[in-house]
Amino acid sequence: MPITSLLIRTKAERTAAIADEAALLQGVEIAEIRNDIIVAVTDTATRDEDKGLWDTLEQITGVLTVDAIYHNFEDVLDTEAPEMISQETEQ
Amino acid sequence: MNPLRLVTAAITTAALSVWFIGCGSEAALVTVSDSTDYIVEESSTIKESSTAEGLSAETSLSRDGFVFDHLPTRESRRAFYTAPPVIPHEVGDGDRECLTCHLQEKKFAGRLAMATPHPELKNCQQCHVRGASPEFMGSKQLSVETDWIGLKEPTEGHRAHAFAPPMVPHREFLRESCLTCHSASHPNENMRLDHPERVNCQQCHVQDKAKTEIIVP
Amino acid sequence: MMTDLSRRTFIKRVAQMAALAALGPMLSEVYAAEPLADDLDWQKAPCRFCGTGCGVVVGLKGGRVVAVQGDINSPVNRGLLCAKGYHAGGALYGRDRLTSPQIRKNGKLVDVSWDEAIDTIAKHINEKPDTFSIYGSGQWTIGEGYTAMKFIKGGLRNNHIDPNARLCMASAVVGFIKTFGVDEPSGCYKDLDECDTVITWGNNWAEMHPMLFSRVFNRRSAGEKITYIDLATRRTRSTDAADHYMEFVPQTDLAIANCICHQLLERGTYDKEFVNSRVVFKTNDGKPMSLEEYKGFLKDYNVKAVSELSGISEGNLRLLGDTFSDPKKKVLSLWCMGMNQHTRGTWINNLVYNVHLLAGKIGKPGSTPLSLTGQPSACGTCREVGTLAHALPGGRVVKNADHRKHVEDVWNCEPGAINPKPGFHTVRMFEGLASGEITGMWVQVTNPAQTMPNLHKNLAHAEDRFLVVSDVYPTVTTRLATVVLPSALWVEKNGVFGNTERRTQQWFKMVNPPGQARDDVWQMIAVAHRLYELGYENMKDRNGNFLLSVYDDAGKEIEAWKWEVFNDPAVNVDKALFNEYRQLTLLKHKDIAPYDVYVKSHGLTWPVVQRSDGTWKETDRRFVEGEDPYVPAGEGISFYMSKVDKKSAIAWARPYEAPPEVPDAEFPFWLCTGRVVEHWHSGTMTGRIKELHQAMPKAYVDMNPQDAKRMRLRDGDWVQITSRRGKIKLQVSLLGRSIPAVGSIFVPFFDETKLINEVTLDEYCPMSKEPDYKKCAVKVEKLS
Repeated sequence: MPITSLLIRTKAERTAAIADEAALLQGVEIAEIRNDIIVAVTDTATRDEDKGLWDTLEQITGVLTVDAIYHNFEDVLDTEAPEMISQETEQ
Repeated sequence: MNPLRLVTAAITTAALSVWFIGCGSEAALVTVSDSTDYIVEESSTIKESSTAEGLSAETSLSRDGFVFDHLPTRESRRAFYTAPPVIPHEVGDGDRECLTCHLQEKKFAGRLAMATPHPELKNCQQCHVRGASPEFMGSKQLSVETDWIGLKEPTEGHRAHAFAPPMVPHREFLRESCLTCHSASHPNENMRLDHPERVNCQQCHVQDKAKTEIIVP
Repeated sequence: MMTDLSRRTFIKRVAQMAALAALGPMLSEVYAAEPLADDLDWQKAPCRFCGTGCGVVVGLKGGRVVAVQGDINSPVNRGLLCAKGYHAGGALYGRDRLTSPQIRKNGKLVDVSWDEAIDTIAKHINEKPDTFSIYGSGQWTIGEGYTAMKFIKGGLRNNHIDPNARLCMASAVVGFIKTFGVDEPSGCYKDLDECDTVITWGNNWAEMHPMLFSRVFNRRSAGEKITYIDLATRRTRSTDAADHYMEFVPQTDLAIANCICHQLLERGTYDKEFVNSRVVFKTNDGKPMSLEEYKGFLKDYNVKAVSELSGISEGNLRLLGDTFSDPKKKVLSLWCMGMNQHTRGTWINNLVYNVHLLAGKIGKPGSTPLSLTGQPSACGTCREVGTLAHALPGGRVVKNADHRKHVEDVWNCEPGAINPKPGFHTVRMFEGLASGEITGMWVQVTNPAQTMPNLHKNLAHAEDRFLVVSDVYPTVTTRLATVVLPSALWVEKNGVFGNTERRTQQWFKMVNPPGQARDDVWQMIAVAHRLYELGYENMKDRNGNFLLSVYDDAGKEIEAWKWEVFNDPAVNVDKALFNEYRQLTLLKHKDIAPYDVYVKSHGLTWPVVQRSDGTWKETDRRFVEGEDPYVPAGEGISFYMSKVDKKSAIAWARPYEAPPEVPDAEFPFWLCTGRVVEHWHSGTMTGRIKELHQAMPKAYVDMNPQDAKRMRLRDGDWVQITSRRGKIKLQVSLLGRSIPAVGSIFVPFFDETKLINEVTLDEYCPMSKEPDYKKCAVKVEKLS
């Protein structure tokens, strides 16, 4: 159930169009646009879907680079504190 | 100095990378084919080529309009040029096994974990602290009111003339292994090595002492 | 508990903020204005932070620090640094740097001129000189400590001067003096390169002295076999490198050390020749003791009994015995606050020396006990210049008439000026401040309202006294101050520090301090001169001249109380003070070289003596023939400052004694406090460095997962920690930076919004007066 934030650098004349196209993708939210950099957050069900989005975004015309900044991943939520391992190495 | 082989492997761990293989060929920094200002003597070869080798003297000297797009990311992770970068991915306090991913370059379906140029130093978190601790993110405490201005990254090494190999604008100390950073699969053209078959880097690329020499009076 | 949906929303927000943070300023605008690698000036300095004393080179451009690198030529760190060292330049540029003197008027601090501030302080002292004190620091430069000593011991003559190093190294100091007759280690960092076995005694060096940790473990990476035994009360980053982790019940370190000695004598594996010739035994109250009597004393410290007491298995205790019994092993013991901040800190220092003395593992390359120092100049300034209530420079004490005379002669005081009665040690001084016995205090380079133990008691009424605070940023202490003075920081002034291994390191001023910030040395000289102008008799020397006069190389007086003179680049007051202080270092063979020798070197370890060809030679290991010039020929290893016979160390028969406060039904947990790698002390500097603050923005409590599970606590849950003295709310961290023993917790003290010292205990070692920050009893309650 990954969540990733991305910085998408774009060619300046294409920034707005890229943002529009990216926003149409399922799982992508545009958080902010600063000059020619788009801050996007992906929220998907599986890692494959997440990576698929990154690839798709890269392919949009005018995208220069896509960098992941923060990636949250977890497979299973912990509900118990883990058992303590033994406290010293025995001889 | 070890030339590193490119290792491609399926994902087996939930390790993290923040570099992407860069843009498609069309989205080069300044595409020669897009530029109409550029005057070419022998047009055909230049227009078809998308690598630096095909460019003429004038192009390689002319850096106007080049946007060094790897630099913002690099600089966001370093207090100053040659500072140890902060860890740009989530890392728990209990995570100590950095070399699982960073001993050799690892690609995970398009992502790249760079190899460390100094694997003999095992106490990684002595110098590399985490950038923006996840569990405390979003709190007001993250903002730091400082006027610190750090040394900037050089955009590239100085070239004596158009076809000269760029000089090395940084010290080799802690960076003895060139290919770990200048990997042939680095996502950004400006860091990426386009001649990995040549292994004796120092034969052509000398230290730029104006930038690297530390002479203490 | 967050629902899954709201949790995801939170994480998305977190992710978004991370990305925005990565954007930073728009860099294309910023490129043009900012420094490039060309045309940088580089100058050397010791790092501003810990007692390792790494050499750095500071990159300067446009009157600013823009980079810091490790000094490749430094014998301490050889070019490497830690995260704090690399980012030390940022300490100068926090936006709220103090830039103007301030006086509290009608409850509020208002900006005033330096003249008004100096005048106000001097007038106050003039009225009540007997009860005005200075609370200084192991981060004072040598010049600063020396000036403060003249001010109090030559000037005010009440001997009320003590440093924060009292809270850090005092037990080590008294331990040294009791065992060897003189302070500071025999060993040096070269021992890290030679040892094959390291034992840390309650010390997390991977975070606290990272460079020393790396210096040993980089050898392991290179293929050398090094055995590391981590004797500790919690698992830390250091434990990751350990071959053996031995968790012990707090305070039983006393028994463990005695147990090793017991085994050495039982098995007969002690170094007989060394013990016969270089070790004498004394009972706990100082009477001579034979080896047989000492062996009898150790009977109670057999493996079985100590295993029950300490929680360490019999097998592991025997392993420790084996380690010291093996004559081929080169064993290095390292320790810092775990042993020093201890209600029997002096004893445990003595006992670790006993182990090494019996085993003959002292003074040998790689095989020696090495007491690590916490602060960058606790050695160089506090211990060597003697900035303690009972001490004088060069290892002297106020009680000794000859010592007083030496110092009076160098300072040109009137004969009999120096008071033979020791002043108040730190805890006593703060108790005095609270009660009003101390009416005024000048705090420099330290933050007692955050770092004193048992804050409610020790900082009570501080705001009612005349409190002068010299600092670089607003702190919890400046909030209580009557007068706040903005100070120059690190490379904004000339200075000299002395590190753990007796290495004295000099640096020059490289950039100007901001606004009206000025050197602490100038501040003290200015106040002293104002007192002199007001007619205060004690600020006169024996000729009626100004006591704190400073003279240049040619013998001409420097009017150092005038800022424009002090600050003149052609004037170096630091050099003048250092060269005057030098002559006082010879008595106990702590010889230091003239200032200019340090300018050209990467620090030198004393005693530094001049060869016949004029060059200066440093000493790697003290007390070792061939290395230490003061060991007579043929003596091998000789503890020549010994009060017994000028060659033997004393092995004291120190018993185990339980700590004053142990967990009970009402307060069932042990509380330990300490640091983390990202932050220095109270975080006033490192908290304003972006990379360090973001890596560790706030304090937390480490708990053992078994305790957490029992209490149904999860990572991030809020708890209240309460002791008999105070309480605090913190978030739980599980399997994080450290894993305390079951029934213990750990809290770092860097966060000024989380004053864990409201909870800690100020019971202290009766010999060193150093309080125990590592053990007290608390309860932990979950907050809903």
